[in-house]
Amino acid sequence: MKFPPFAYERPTRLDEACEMLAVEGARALAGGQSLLPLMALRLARPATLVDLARVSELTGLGVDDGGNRRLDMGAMTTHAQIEADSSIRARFPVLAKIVSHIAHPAIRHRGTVGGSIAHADPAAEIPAACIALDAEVLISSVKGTRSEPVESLVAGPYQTTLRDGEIVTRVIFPLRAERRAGMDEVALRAGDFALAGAVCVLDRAGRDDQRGTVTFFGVEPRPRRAEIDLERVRTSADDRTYWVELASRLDEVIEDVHGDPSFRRHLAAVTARRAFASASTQQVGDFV
Amino acid sequence: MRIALDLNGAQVEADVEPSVSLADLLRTKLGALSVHLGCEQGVCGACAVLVDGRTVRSCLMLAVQGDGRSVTTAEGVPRRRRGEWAAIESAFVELNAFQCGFCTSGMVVALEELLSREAVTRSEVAAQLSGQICRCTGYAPIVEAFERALASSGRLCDGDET
Repeated sequence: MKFPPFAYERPTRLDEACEMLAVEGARALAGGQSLLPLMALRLARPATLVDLARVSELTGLGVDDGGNRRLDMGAMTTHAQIEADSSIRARFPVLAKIVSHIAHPAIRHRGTVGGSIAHADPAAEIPAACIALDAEVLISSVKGTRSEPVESLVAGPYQTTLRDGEIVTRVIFPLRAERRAGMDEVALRAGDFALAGAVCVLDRAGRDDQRGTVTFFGVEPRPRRAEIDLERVRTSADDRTYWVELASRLDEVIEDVHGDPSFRRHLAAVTARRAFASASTQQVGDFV
Repeated sequence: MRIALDLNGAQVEADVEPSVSLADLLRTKLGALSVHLGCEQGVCGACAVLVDGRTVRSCLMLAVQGDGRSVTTAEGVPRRRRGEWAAIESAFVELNAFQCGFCTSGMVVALEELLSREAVTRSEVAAQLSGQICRCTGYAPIVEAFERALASSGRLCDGDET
């Protein structure tokens, strides 16, 4: 289980990194917590690893309450940084909570938000949180920069719309005063990949929630965001029926050694209901 | 590539190929045999070391990524804990907090990260240990030894994780 041989580059500026990544066979190394195991297992064999750890443009994290009203984080922000950041804990508690489900503390110290998005594991928490919270990413390459919502960036299992030589540089979450969110996840053991997980987002207008969505992860080949029929949830005597019905519409449910599709659909309904309950109990204010 | 790092308080240098993991560098060139290689794919936690004071899987980090960093292996923990170490060691011995011993050095490194905090809750102990596999499945005494080590220095506190 040793790594296959590769060349190693360690740029300090973004333009340098982009030039190195424009070369055939080069691949970006972020935290390495998914890419390095894939290399150990010979599922990935890049000719060159471009280590992004020292590229200053990919770090930094801040909530902008002013004109832009957003949370902006560098792609090399680690899960542990998100978990510990006081402004995220205050303004985006759902993000701090969801990263606590990612593997174990030692993995979270190195795993990064940009790496997780680019890797696009169907069971990963970060891409699902990004889709649920309408995050977009900034992307750079030698050809220039562009932005794309994570919703369209994640194309399938381990597939994104990132083109050769492109890297995610920043992740941007809009800050919406009338938004509440909650999440839930079921895994066999703490830190294992999710068997099913859900992120619920409720957007209020006036006194009532006007729009609600639930984004499932670990259930299908890519995270899926579904609209919640808030009227039905409010008026049904037993809302469990509604969540089971919502989960029954998931038509590409993963089947593996841990369970057949009906079991995963069941877990999807359970996690969606709990995520909704968690979002519903939040105070409206600047909380997501 | 020539790299330099601080290993358990001593400045060391090494020539490494990029494909060498930090775990292999520590074991084969730098004599830190407490770094145990179990799965070599980030699952088991036996190779845990501290990098700049934070636990990492040394099998999921390249040696070249350790350039300029400060690395602590289980060998370096007694020196960091000085006066406290005897009590920690006896907690492990008295409670039988290891069976075959393969996971123990990773456990000691995981404990050191908790000991570097001011206050630690029981649920944080559980979360920390979730990443460290004991294939003998002797978790209960290990949790107890962690809690005793933390309690004897006044760090164990009640209350849930926030």
